[in-house]
Amino acid sequence: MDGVHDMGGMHGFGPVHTADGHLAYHEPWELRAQILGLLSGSVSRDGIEHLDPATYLASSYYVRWLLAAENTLVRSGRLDPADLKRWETTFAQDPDARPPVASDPSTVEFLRTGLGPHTHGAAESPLFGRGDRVRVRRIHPEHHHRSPRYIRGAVGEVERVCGADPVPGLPAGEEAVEPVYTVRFSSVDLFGDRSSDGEPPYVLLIDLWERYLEAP
Amino acid sequence: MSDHDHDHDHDHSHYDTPSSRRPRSEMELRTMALEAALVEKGLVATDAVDEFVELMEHRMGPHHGARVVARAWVDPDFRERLLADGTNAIAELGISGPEGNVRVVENTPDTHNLVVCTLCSCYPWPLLGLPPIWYKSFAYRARAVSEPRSVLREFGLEVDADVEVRVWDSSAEVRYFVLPERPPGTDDLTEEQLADLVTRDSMVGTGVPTTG
Repeated sequence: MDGVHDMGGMHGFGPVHTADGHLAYHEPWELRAQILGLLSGSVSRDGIEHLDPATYLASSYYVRWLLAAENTLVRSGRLDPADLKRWETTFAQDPDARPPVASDPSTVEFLRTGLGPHTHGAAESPLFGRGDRVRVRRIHPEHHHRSPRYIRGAVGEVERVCGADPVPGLPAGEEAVEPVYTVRFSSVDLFGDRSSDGEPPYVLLIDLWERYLEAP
Repeated sequence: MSDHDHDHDHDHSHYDTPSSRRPRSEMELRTMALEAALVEKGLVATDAVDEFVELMEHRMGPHHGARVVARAWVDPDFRERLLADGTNAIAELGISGPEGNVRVVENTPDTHNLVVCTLCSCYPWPLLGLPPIWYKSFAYRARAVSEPRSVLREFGLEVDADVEVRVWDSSAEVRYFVLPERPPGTDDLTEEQLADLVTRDSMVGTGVPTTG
């Protein structure tokens, strides 16, 4: 979807706040919220992107995970909002109360030994090859996708064929695997020549599924 | 952040920070409620959550990335393999894991690389651990692709006009990792000493290694 999460090139966010240095979060519960979302399988990029825009912009990274988890778990009926409220009240009223404890050694073992990197499939019959000029198709999908607005309509050059990967955001039953390309753009073709503003031309490289591209 | 050591007797030390002596924020309460409801329903287990936290906070981390950089600096054949196939090269050093499909991009006297994920915050976890708050921030996600030199200046890094800046937007499954330039005057250092020069920021492109 072309939501507020698609932020490349947006103005208005001010300087990057670098003073926190390497800090990944401010409070440990934040990381725990993300892990709960991951382990319950209740948080996806799609779910986070579908948060109300004002909520998305007003929420920290980890709160977005928490909200997306709650939304998905309640909407699917896996959790009852009354239970969430009951627990929230319990913890609010008793600072020493803690969540119940349960153990799952097989998941622990899997997390220790079974998690590996994504592996690409082989790109069979890719439409494009290294050096080919390609244009980013003008599309406007409501479903989750990974073709940001700031490159739409721009012409670039294939820098690498990455392999083939499942296309994100497709409805159940319509899954597809397609070649993914690293495409190189000149910043001039994306944002104009801003040399006089202290930003001389640079190169932008981004990975795009085949369906996001066409011959120019 | 309190740099607490993970403790294994499941007393939920994540909910026991000094700040929890104040009333907890609504979002902290809702996180605790989420954990409680999920455990109660048998949908997640506490030790699995603890294990994943341990993985993200300690087992994965920039100490791995620094080892890779130092090895590439001292071993030209490794460097070539690293640039050709990052995922398999880092596996030679025992490094692999989720978000670990890696392409390594090399800084040179003519080229400076910068990595971002504009759409969310994709990051090469096995090599760098958790992304910093700034990497996940709207300002970085918005501006790294549109005004990289201005962003780098905010990190105290000035890139010469004749150096090509390359910004990598991690929009698919590949996670990008910057191989920074080896600082001059380091010929006598051991591989371990070289790894100590490699900052987290230098492996994302918002900094350069220290000179020791």
